[in-house]
Amino acid sequence: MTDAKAVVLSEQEVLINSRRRNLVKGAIAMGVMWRLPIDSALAAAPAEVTQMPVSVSAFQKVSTFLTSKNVSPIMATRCYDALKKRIPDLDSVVASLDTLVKARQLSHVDQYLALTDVDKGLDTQAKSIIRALYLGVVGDDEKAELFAYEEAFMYDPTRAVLVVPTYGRGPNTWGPKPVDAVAEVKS
Amino acid sequence: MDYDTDVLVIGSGVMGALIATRMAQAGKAVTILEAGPRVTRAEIVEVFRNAPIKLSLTNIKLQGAGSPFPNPPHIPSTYGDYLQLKGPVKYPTKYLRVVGGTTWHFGSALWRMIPNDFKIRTLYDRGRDWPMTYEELEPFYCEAEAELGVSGMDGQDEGGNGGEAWPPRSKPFPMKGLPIPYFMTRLADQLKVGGYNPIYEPNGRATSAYKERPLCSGNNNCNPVCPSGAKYDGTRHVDEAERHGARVFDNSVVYKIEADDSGKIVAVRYKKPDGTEHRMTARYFVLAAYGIESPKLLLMSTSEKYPNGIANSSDQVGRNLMGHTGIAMNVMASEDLWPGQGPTELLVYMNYRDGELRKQIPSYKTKLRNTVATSGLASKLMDQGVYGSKLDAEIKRQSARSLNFAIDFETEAQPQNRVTPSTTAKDALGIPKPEIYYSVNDYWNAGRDFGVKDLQKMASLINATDIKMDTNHQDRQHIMGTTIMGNDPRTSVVDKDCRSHDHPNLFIVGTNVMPSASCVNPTLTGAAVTLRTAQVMLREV
Repeated sequence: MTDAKAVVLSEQEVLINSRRRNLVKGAIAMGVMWRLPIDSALAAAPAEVTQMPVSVSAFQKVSTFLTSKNVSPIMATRCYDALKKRIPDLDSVVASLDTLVKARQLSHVDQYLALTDVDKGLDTQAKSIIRALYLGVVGDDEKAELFAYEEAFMYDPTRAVLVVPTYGRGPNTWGPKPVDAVAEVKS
Repeated sequence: MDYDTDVLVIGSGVMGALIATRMAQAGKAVTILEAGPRVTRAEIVEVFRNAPIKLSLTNIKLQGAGSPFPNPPHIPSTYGDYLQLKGPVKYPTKYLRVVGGTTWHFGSALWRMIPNDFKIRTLYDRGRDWPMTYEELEPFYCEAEAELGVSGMDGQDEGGNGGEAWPPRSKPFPMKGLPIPYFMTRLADQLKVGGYNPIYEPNGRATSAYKERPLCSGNNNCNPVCPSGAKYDGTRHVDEAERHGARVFDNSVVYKIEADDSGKIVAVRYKKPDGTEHRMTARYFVLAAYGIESPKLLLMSTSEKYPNGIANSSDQVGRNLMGHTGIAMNVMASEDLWPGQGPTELLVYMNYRDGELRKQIPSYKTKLRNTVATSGLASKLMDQGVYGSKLDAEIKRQSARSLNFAIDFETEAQPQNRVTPSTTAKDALGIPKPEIYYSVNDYWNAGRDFGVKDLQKMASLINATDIKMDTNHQDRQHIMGTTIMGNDPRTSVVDKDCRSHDHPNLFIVGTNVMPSASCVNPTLTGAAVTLRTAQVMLREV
């Protein structure tokens, strides 16, 4: 007896869902690439194995350096697509960062962060990439775009103890002292 | 005379749905008119997951991007600029206009008031007394706990004194309490030396299979939506009412209540999103549109016979708006405690819930938030320029140690705090938006000053650092008052049965009938009063 009406998703949400479905299909087609550990992923020449565009492959490589985490093809593709809308010269930013990493023989992002002579504009863009991958979101205005939620890197440091909201571990799975918690009581 | 339905219920939240269920179970023809659309859990969860901003109570700043609940033009969301906030203190409350109502996004704290909360004028010369006692309401508290499926710790002193079980109850909780997260037991140990008595909050999350609800699985997403349905929401009773034959018309915005010259309510008028107008008659009417929309509708329903609106001979409709205006404190603990495990709230302190002190300061509740704070912490750290290995380390450290203490103060019924239909701002259907004037008095200010010192004491007991106090009148989204209950028709809107003093076949239910607010979440009290009203109605409908 009702004239029930489903929630109407916004155009943006529909696009996100559509993109996600396509990417999931793409991931299946690409095989198990995104489950590989980070070293294997880097060694496997992603552009060839996954048939990612060269630009996305380069972005994935730089993203991996900037976060020290396994940036999967899906994550790289989603993040690249979202960032490209806000950083039109993203490809040249990626190329510049890649050149810098090679030239200075940097093996960890902390070494990059310790540099004192990085171009400020380039540094800002590098941190935009890090921020996006950690938050799973590009932008902080009303047009902010989410490209990852459960996979966002900000959840990694606490993943062993805390759930990502909406992804509970099941009834009665909390209560004991978390094994990762080290008591450091100050007297 | 023929009627379209025996009982017409305006609003499909928990209160309206409870009445509708009881009436439908008794074989009455029941119709619910709901302003908003139906939503499904899966859709809301999916929209939430895809939203770029995820605050515990959805996003206020970026309404379009962050709120998972619908925001169509005919029922603008309260997360936007729908509420016209006036007065010295903002009252940016959040309620949902969807089938099932605001319990979709409530935290599900389901408290009983204590006996003295019903007679604060007599005992403490503050606020208003209720026209009923705790003892009269107690059996209905039991019914409400069973209907909503409350889990709780039997034997606790919810009066806050660390003593015997209180308030008195004739039945145990329907379900045992939830497992207590580590941070709460550890914090309780640390605060005990200061005389603080921990109370684990009764709540609407299932701890055993209960009326088709699964067990709480610790998704930590009670706000804005429980992903699994372990938490009670009003759709449970909407569904139950429908199973017994009730009809639900969604997207039906009631804009006028009609009464005849004898005072009897005869019909309501409502609009659909396309602007078409409709009319429905009934023998009995129940107004259950919560504390902002209900008085707005009554005040909009003017006529030659009722120039001040329906049920308003006392001029009290819309007045006496109350809330739990609060303060909060963020600190960094001195050890890893890991808030964020399990559901979003549970540990509460109420050392000052009752006693002679209430003559000077309001009753208050101090709660520890238990939300996964990663997103906010990560953003803030990167804003501060923290990246690389240190970013991971700080996300972990701060997630394990950041604590939020929040105080909810009782507020008094004051006539100047009121809801009125705006004379200038209208929604897409041409219906006035609600205008809210709100303020706090020196009683609240005295509570704030006392509460700040109390919070500082708690912080010192756990050797906390980085103490940040927010005393800026935080709104707890607990709407009370505006159609207040009392024995005297000159000073109240409904009697103790929730029947309008002016209209014999109009009942008004919800937390908006409460004459005093106590310091605890009002939903269970509203439900208990509603079930008492259902019993009254069943004797005559």
